[in-house]
Amino acid sequence: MDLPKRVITEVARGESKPARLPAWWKELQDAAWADYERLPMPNRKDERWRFTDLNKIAVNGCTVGTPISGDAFASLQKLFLPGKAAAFLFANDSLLFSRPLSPEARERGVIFAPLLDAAVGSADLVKSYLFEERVALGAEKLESLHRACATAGAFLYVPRGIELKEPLELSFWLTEANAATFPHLLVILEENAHARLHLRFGSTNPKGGFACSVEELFLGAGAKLDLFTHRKWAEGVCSFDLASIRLSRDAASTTFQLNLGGSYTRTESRSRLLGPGAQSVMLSATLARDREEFDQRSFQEHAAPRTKSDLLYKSALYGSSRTIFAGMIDVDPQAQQTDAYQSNRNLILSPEAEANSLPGLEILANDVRCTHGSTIGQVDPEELFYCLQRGIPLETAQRLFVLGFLTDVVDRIEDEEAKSAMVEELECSLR
Amino acid sequence: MSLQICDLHARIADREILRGISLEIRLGQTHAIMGPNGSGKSTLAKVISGHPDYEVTQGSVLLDGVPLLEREPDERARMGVFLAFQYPCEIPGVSIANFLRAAAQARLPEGESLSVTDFYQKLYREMDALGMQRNFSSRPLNAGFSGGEKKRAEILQMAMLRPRYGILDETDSGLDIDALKVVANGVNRLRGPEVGFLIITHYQRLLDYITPDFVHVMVEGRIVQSGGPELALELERHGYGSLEERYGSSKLSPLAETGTQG
Repeated sequence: MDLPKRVITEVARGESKPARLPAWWKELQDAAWADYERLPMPNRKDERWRFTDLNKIAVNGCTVGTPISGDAFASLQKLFLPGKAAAFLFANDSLLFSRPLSPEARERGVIFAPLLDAAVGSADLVKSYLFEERVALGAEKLESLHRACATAGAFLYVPRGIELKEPLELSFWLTEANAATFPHLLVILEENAHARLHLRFGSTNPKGGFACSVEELFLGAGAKLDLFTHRKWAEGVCSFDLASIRLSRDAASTTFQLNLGGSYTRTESRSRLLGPGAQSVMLSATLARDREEFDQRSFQEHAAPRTKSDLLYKSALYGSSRTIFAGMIDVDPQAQQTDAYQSNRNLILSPEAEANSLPGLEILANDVRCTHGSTIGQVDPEELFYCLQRGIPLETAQRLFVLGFLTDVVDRIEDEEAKSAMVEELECSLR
Repeated sequence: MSLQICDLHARIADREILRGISLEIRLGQTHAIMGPNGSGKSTLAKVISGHPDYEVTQGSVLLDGVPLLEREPDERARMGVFLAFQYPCEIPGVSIANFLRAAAQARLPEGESLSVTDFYQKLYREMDALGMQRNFSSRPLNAGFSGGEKKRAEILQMAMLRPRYGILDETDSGLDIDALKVVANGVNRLRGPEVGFLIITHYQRLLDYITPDFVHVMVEGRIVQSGGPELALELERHGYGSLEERYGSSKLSPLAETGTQG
């Protein structure tokens, strides 16, 4: 793996850097840059990089601030304009389009703003939370790189007791093969606040690019967050997505990832159940094709009594694609009556595809219910024959099985609108 | 126009199961095959439809004159062969409607797409005729269905796909009398000059409701006796015992020897 310094120098010290970046943020960047240089490259000897094809991690020549072509701008505009939700759209880390929150939401004190604006407008809040979390499931070096480079992204703040009815949207695009992006999402939900957010990652160009995103999500007591991530990078994109959720007493989060593209995609997801009664549902549906690799690591951290976590990651593998799942349920001694579940299921559709599954438990409390399971299987030959006998060609039959297999995860989403959008995206992608 | 089975031999692993079956089902005809357990009735259905576990070692099957055996199972189905399974598979996560849409779409010429409105109209009409609730169509195919529901879903699929030759493999097994009547009515509605049926059954019971034109008796991988509907009644009275005694032990039956066709 080779991360050229060019990526960093042009961002952290480049002339194009917005002048309004506050001094405290610049200091964070400098410290992060030092961390980045100090930390070792990922290597296969590290258990947390077991099975990863490190040759796929290549970001040679990718830079931030790559200019956006007229065509890419037009296609993104066409995509953005029909939407209704409050939204921000970034391409190559430049903010291209925005649609504000409803006046009612703003009057009630909700803030949804580009990170750079929030760093000035809500300086105290942003300063005390930004870059505080560490996902730390292996990609520490990349996380440091992110901190040294990230300026694009959004800040969401929902005050106590406010339930945001409308879903929010945030999207990050790569438009050129040599573009890099470092998206950041900072969410603070105060006590009993509710929010729903769609996070999209995609490419307008057919090939290449580098992305390293971080989500820091803070949920106060009784708060509720639904985060839907739609990931559809182009061929040749190498991406990292590192997410940490902190849940206070009785807070509840549902995260869903739909993974539909990208050469190498690493996701690290940490749910930190810090208050009694907190709940986290972690869902992922992946369609791995061609030579794609999806490398997913998760951590369910039970640090308080009566906490509940439920993870379901499913992948369908075509071609010579690879998936890696490594999950850990960690139960602290004080986290009695923990209820934790972890399930990873893989459907293999090609003899060249390869799924690796490493479920894990570490339990230090005695009154808990923890279960995990993993399967790697193929389409049942009798089921396949049944479909063929109805005149359904092999490829279509496989598509039906894959849809059925992954829809099972989508069905776990309570939000009907989000659910049907996900199914449609999945169907489109399989067509 | 016919489904013509000629001197068909087939085996699974090293075991020969079909030992020279010859049978011609013309359009408009309904044939029944009866026989004791293990006589090869279900194997015949699977071999015709192209199940990969079976190897044909001799003989041919022609569908309206076109050789069938070298074709893939999905091609055979699109040519007009439909098998109602004895044990229909559960297809988790795929609704009946989506499954049937895929099957109907596969029968259209390339580039043409299915009219969704027409499809649902037809689907609901057939479901009504089979006494099925409409919301059934959004349930995952056969997942958690009762025995009767599965068999009803098989007949629904046959009604939607309108095969030229329908093969029913022990469709009556596991059905109570009411479900049996519904299924039999469903088949009778499809009978006509443009379709031929092969009904495989262990018991005569189903033939009370679907009257066949011809009845054949199969023992040890061969058809040992053929006749009209009265043959089924006769079997019901005397059982398979005497036939098994006559044809089961010997390696060659007189009918197979002379190549006589059922």
